[in-house]
Amino acid sequence: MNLYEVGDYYIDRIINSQSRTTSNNDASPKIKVLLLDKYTKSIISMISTQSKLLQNEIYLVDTVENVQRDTMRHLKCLVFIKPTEESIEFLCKELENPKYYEYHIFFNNIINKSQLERIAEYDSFETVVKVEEIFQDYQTINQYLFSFEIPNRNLFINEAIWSETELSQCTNSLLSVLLSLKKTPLIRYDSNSKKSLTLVKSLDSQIKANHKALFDFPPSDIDPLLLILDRDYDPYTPLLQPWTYQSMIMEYIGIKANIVDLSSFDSNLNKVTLSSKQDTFFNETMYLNFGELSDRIKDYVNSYKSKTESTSAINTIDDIKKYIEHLPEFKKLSNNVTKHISIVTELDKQLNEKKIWDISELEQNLMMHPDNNEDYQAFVKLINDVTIERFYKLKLACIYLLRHDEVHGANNKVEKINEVFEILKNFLPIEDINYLHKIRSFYDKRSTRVESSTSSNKDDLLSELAKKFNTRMDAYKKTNVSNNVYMQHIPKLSNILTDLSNNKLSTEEFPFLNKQATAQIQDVIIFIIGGITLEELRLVNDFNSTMKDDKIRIVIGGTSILTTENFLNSLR
Amino acid sequence: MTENEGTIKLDNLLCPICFKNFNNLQKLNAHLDIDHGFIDESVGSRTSSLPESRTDTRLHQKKQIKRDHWVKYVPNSSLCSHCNRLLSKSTRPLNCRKCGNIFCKMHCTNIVKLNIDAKYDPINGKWFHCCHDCYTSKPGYKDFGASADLTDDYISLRNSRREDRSLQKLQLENRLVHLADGLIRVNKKYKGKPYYAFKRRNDISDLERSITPWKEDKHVSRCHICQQPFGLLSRKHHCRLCGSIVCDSISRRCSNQVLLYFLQEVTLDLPYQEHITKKEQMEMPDMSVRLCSRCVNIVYSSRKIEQEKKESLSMLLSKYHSMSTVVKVIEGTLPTFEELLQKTETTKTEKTVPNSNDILSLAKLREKLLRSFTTYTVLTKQLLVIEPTNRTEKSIQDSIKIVSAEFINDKLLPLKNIPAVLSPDKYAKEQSDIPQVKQFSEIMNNLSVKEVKAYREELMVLKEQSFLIESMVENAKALRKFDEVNTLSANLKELSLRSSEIQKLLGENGFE
Repeated sequence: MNLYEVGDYYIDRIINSQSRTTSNNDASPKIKVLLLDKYTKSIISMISTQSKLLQNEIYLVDTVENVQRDTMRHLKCLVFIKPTEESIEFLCKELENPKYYEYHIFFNNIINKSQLERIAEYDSFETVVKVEEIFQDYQTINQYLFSFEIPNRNLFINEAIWSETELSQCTNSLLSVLLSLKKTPLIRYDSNSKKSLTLVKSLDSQIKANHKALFDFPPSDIDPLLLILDRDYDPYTPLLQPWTYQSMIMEYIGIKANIVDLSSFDSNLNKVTLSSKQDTFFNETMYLNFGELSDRIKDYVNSYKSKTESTSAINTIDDIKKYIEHLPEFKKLSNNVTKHISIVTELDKQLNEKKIWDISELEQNLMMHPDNNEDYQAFVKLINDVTIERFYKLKLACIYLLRHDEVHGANNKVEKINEVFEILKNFLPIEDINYLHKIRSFYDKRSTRVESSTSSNKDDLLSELAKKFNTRMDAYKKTNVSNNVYMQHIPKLSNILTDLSNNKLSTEEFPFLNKQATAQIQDVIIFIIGGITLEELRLVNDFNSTMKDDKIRIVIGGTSILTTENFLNSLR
Repeated sequence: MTENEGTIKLDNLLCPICFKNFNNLQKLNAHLDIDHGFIDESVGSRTSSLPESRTDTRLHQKKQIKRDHWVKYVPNSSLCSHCNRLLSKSTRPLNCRKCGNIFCKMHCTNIVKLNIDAKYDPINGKWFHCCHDCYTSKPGYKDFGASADLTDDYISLRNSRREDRSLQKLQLENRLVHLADGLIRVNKKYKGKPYYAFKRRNDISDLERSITPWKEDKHVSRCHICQQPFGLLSRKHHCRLCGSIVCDSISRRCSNQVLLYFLQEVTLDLPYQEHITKKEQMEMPDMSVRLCSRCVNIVYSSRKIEQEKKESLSMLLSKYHSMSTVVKVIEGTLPTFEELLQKTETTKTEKTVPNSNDILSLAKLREKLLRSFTTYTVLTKQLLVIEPTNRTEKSIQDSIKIVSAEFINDKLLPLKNIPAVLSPDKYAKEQSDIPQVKQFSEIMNNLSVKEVKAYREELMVLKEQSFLIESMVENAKALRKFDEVNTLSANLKELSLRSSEIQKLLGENGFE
């Protein structure tokens, strides 16, 4: 259940593709071309590197959309595309007028018969020697996280209904996740979300349709589990300012397909790649919070300095030789140090400029102790502060109002709400005020539901006790609470994980689609409709690393990776 | 614990393994002991403490899982197979029900479904304890990456179309042969008779229509290929091979006037009876045939592709091919070289005299390697100065540049250092006292020549390195990293010192 391993395996399959008829004789070309489309381009860039491709004699990477490619009759062409109508159309055009020696075609998801027929129709020169489906119709963000990169804006027609194309895209991508991990799972879904039920049904029918051909895996004693959640179950987590390294970069600078664009503030560095797979420093620090991160950066710089000192003392010819030998390594290190330092400086700058420290503290306090007068005063103060961006004011208001509604439920204190709106009117434009009203009514139904379910849980004393004694997640929670004001809020996913590990996940809230599960849980794939936050990824990472005996392995994914901004905007 | 709490708890007692419900603790205990094998025979004391009657009923109730393969627990000497700590009663030694090895309770916490022969049985088995290794090695646990090979389906789909296609191709080729032969004959007939131009045209027209029935002009309002309507500006044309009506748009290339000579040139394998020479074609430029793009594709393109495949490689690609053979040689010899080096190294540490044969072959291998590397670098340099013929070749060239730089970094530079382990004292001995050198030359008689070569090579590398560093200094200066510049220029000085030293040593044997 490591998505990097899956990615490597598939890449190797593509790279080492051999046609059946021609054995490795001299006539067959050595240099390879990798032909991608706009979808697979980012998929490849997440799991492989240029140097890996170069090592395997792939000296040219291009897209099928580019029609101005030169004819290179002596190159072997590896095609890796998503079976969309558009890409297939391009492929057909390519085959009608082939430019390369031979074609090895890989699709990243299931291709239907008529599409295959069409390709065969156009392949009149019989240049295609191999056609294969491999299943990677998703982006591998890291070993436990996949994303489909479908923005929330396009996902739904209204709050409860999927848009047709996005639903089928989501279904297909999920199907490819299951196939790439070789799991035929039991499916559970969020009973409060119609959207999750729709997706689950569509997925189930697809699994059944392809059962014989593809989902023909040997039975396991513990059935894998697919848990479909809806972002609505926890709207707070994506609203709060994140504090881990990776999520902060995502929030303030932006990561796109492992590439961070630094050009806006550091003219020396342009676009840098940031992958936990290649960058060990990043791999170690991506889940650390800003405080811990500063210490690590300091250490990193110190170790770098000590290395430069040792190399500057070159006295003998042997030293030179050693120096030359380590030069590439050294250069890499120095690049990496400058990269991280400039990222951290930029983060620090933005945090101070936007007064994130104050905002985040208030956000966390609002989450932790509702209806506190001190918090309210702080809230009013920040709303009145002209230096704070409008966006953050809106977000604070959002959190405040939602929390207020959630806590007070039915006996809503209308006066207080009106008071808040009076203040807000002075600082926010009318559309933001409207937006706040809309979001309140949207989450109104949800919040009462949460209330009732928690109260029903309390009757179950044993499960409560079990929760208390479940040291794993709790110990983790405690350390966090005591250490850091900025990370007091714990995403609700944590509860779900805890319940999962105890097998106490309520079947009312998260019912099974078809049959009841067997007793045990081993492999869990969690998918969140509406996007996942990196904060939640950190939870999963911690969970997986505490599972020393590998009893439960979790892979998580979402329709997209959320930042506070695109989450807030998606609700508009 | 108060009684009240106790009863609440007892209401929903769940087995921690299979989550079956029990209404009292005894039943749960019995269930755990029997179904999950918690009772452990290997711990003698525990078994004996159990009431006799219960043990009996347990034995009668269920067939027991196989236990012959269990490792026996020996007090004060058994170790946990995972953490190697001494097992005692307090650590609760447990046997993994699958592999039978003995563990402490911390390292036998996983569960797996087994049948009574202790084999993995995901469907009919019952839950049992197992160790981490047995858990992770069960089938399907580490499995991932499904894929489906559709090549066969695809080829059968393609073959079903192939027959039609080849039939069509054959038909068109036949027509082409007839048309070409006819045209040439007609031309021969009227050669040198300019007055019969009208009659000639008539004959040609008759011939063309006899090859394939032309489609009626009246019924067609759109081009057969691009579907654009015909009008004043776009005239109707008949393809002379298939008879369909197409336009002559220059941008879309629906049809083209193809010279007969070129047509025959490309399709030499067809059984033409008459041939037109280049000279004749030059004299009669109107000896051409209008063909639609589809017919051109069918008759001409497949031949073109086949021919292009057979064409010799472009400069860039052929250079690359020779480069890759050199790489193969280097990668083939490197392991043996390293092995041999290791061998001589060990003799050195043991203070025994290294085998003379080994040294000899070591020197030979090293020479071979260095020579290959020189060829490699020369080839790379040659390759990089080739003017690429198109943009694709340019990017391929760039890629090769990166790869070769990396290859040299990876393989050559460490290699330069390794012989230094062998040779420093060799050099030192040579420089300080001559008799020692003689000793060496006794082993390798043509050493001096080799040494010269080695020196030359070292000199070359040094030059290369200093060149590298120079460029890096430039870079660093440009980036204003002055601390780097300082170190680098210090290195540069060292390098030039050493290279001048070698140059002095080489004297007139040097080059350049």
